[in-house]
Amino acid sequence: MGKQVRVSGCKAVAEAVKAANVDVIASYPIRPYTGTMVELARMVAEGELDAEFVHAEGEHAQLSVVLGASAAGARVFTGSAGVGVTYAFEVYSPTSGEFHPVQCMIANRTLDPPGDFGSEHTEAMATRDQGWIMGWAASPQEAYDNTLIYYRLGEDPRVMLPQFPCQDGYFVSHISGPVELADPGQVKEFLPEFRPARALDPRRPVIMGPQCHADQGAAIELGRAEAMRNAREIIPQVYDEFARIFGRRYDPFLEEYKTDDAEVVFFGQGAHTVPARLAADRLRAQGLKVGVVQLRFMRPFPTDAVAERLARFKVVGIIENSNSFGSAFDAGPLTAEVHASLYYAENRPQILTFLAGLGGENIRLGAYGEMARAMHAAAQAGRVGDGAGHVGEGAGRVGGGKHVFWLGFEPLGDAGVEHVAASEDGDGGSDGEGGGW
Amino acid sequence: MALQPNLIEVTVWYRGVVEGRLARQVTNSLADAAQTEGSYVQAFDNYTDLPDRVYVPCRSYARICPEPIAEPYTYVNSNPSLVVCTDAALVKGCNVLKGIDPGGTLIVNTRRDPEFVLGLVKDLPQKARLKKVATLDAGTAHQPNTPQGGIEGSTEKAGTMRTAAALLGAIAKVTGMVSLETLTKKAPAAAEMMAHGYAFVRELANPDYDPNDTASEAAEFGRRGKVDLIVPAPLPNGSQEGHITGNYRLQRPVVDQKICTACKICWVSCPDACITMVKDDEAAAAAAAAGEADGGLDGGADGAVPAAADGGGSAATGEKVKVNLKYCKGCGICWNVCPLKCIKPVDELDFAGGVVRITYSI
Amino acid sequence: MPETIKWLGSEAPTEVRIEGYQEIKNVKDAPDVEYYVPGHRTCAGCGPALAYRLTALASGKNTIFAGPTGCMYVANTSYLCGPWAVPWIHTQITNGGAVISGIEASYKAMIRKKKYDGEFPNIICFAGDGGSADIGLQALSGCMYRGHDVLFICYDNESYANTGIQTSPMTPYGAHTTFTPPGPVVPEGKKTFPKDLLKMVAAGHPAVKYLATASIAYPVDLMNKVRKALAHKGPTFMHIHAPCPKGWAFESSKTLDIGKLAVDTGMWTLYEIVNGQVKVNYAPRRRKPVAEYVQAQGRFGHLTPEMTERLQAFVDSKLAELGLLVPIPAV
Repeated sequence: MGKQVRVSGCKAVAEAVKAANVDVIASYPIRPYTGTMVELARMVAEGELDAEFVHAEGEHAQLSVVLGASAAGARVFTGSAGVGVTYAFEVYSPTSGEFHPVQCMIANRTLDPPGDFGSEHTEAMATRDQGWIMGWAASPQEAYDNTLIYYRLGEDPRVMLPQFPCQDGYFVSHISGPVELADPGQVKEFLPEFRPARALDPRRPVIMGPQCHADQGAAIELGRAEAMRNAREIIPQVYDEFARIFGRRYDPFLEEYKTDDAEVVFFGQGAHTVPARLAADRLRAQGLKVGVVQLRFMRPFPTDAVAERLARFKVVGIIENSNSFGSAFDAGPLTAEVHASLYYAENRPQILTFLAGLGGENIRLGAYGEMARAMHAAAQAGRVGDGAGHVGEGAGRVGGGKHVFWLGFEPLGDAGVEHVAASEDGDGGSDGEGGGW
Repeated sequence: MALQPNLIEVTVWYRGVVEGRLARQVTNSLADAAQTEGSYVQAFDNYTDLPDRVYVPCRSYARICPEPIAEPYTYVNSNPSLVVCTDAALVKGCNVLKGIDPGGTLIVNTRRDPEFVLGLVKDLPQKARLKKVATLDAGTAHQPNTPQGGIEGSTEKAGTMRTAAALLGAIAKVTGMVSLETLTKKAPAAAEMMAHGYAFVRELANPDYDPNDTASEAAEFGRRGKVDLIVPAPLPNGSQEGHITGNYRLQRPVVDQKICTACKICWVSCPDACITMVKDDEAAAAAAAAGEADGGLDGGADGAVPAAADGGGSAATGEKVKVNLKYCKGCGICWNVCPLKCIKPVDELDFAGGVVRITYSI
Repeated sequence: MPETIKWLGSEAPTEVRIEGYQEIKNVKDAPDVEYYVPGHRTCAGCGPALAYRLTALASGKNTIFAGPTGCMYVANTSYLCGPWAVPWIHTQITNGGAVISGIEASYKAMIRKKKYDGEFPNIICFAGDGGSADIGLQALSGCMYRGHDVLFICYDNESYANTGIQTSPMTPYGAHTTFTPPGPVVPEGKKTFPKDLLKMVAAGHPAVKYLATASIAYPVDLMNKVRKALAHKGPTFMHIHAPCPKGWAFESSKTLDIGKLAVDTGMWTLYEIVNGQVKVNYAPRRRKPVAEYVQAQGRFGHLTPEMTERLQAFVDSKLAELGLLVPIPAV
């Protein structure tokens, strides 16, 4: 049984990096992830963690430093946020393509624009096709656990892929919560020392990343595709091991809350799934059968689990915290992936998408209530709504009524809800504790 | 061509950089002329040969077809009915007849006769599909006087056509795929050289041609199965078997071992590490090996052929310097830097041995 | 030693540590185990390939190379293989300096934490002029500044040669590249003068205690400089002149001649900066006019006498800085 502390998500990750006995760390400041690096710098300076701490000259260099270090055989850590994540973009594909299992935490932040300090998943989502394992933590404890779980998963010889453990900036990264720290014996059992089969070692020389012919390209890509499929297969085993050793059991792919009798569910990842749980409790008191499904991995995306487990609900309401301009339904990547996963399902739920929390805007409890009522109306009607909206008009009408909504900017379909203001300093309406409940 | 019987594929083999313009002049002029005569055409360079490097064997292509070309976006001509080589050492060093269409033609720019060129073709099934061989001394390619490169996909016909014009005249005469009149009309300034090529090309009907062999060699589908991006390194003092470079060579360095003082200037100057100094105890062994040295196909065992072995020199006793002919590109640095001028360039075609083949997929 | 450049890092407080330098006395004394072996798709007569080979001969078995994108990546590894008998890793053209920083940090940590029981290796980034002076400059600077125990080599063939000879910041004034074609509007082709890369690295990176220029035409000097650089603890930098028959348009057999001519005309100079002190290694006895260098290469074929004079004036100013400005003897 480890020590109980109260720390932020950033600090929790630093504690996990220390527990993982990382060898090389590459830093560059950008809010809101910086807190992790500040903490790691302190740990190295005070001798708590024996690691090389490299002051990279930018995120591109951060990723390059840890790539080189991982290629040489070290366990490595870096992190970033917002525009830093996109600045390093060139290095992501070589990292996964040459199978360097580096870990790069992301504490989410908007890109420019809007460029504010708020959390939005867009920057991380932009990297989702680069062959990295990716998923979100919803609390400091999950952030701590994910750091260890992702190392274990990424360094598995059948996987050897880099990882993006994400956490919502500020919400998770800066707001403290209870965290149970592992004791060294537990970590040693769960996470063996990193010993790659092939490294840049003059005693056993290898050539890493040579050029190839066009007819070898697909064959190389196949290796990465297989590694990602392998990751999906072994994720449940890793979570079983984790539960056995640490005593905390997570559903490996989809964490469900009060779904046994639920007709409608919120579907999302990361921080926003936490107030969604509270909202579900309150809505249930009003007689609405609401549940919550929290997605653990964006990559590998658990297509089968999503198809099998969402099929039993009448309506799924996606909390989409990321833009993908001009994409299917003019929504975001999560919307596209959920729809695609359900295409072959026998019973397909109605799907509503709420573009919510963009720019890091808070989603207040009242807003969850509005969303739930919109979902409930769709469940009653057996179809998604006809409501017209001033934002994204015409969007999300393929094969039915409007089903994509910019939360706070347009009425939510047939729910009879005229206006939802999501902002905490919004102009009244359903905002605030009392409104609409 | 099983897929499109009326498609004529023309493959021009050339030396990277120094003959790039020449090859493109041939393929583009052919395509232009055929288009004038009413055909659908394409002209392009093999993308996987690029970026071209000095002396590396490369290919430029033309395609001519009376109907729209069915597979316009492929990197290679799988079954050429005409193969043109800008020098005969390409026939010796490369698998230039790979996939040749039954009844196909080979035209080579060389002062040597067609019989000699035919003698360089070692692959018997390919040889059986070859109907005609022709040679023409069209002169050496014009050495470029400006930096070359970044011109892949170019349709340039700029500059004076001399060698290319003569080769075009020969192509018109031997294959009739386009007429001399059309070629001349498109490039009046080159008319004289075209007429020269038309008049002086020497043709030979291949006695080993088998008219009953009518099946095209199947185009290779790329290798399948997972490929690793981390590969083992070669051994120290070893060589990289994945790319054998002896077929870059037009001229071979021949060392006069009697004059050589083993000063190592050539050794230290070779970019390809193809010169090794013979240590005293190795000299005897090298002499013994000299007798059996003659390379086979596919990068065979001619890696360390002492020059004397088939250069007509004296016995290899007292040998001081070895040249790795499996990899030597014939750049000429060694014979240029030798303070005693005891390394001489000799035409690769003057040696029977040392046939090497590109080992990568072509 | 000219007073003017004494300030180059000479006051920096870092101590200089040199370990295990073994000088090569002459060509016959050179090591003969090849770690850059035959079998690569470089041009016949490739200058950078010779630079690679000489570097690998000098650095020996306990070496790791990082190769940013460029000719020495694409040509050497075209077919999913590579000619190095020591570990080699591809890096992006942008990040050679950062990747070797990581490799170095990894070995430091692993040796300290007893995860690696071998000797600390020589870690060398072998980057082209684009990967050093242009798009790779930031990573180079970061690496040199942080004090990693590595050697960063710029093999300079004065253009983006791999992509087909496009201008780089190291392309000389007046050169014809495919991005600087001479024409009536731009008669000189390349209009600007190149960066001084060695000086840039020397001037702004106090941790760098050893820098050297070298040329493939002076192979023993080159190999010794590689060894000296590796013997210095901390970051070191070399700038190697590597003539390119493809890009400069000369015959493949003339690669070393062009390299020598560059030194004889002052287009290239051989010197070291050791702990801030400049040491010129070679001063040609009879300086040759730049016109001779220009006439030997197709890339300068369009230059007028006035343009050649501008180039000569540029060279004279650089030579004056090194105290090498001697009169050019009459022919």
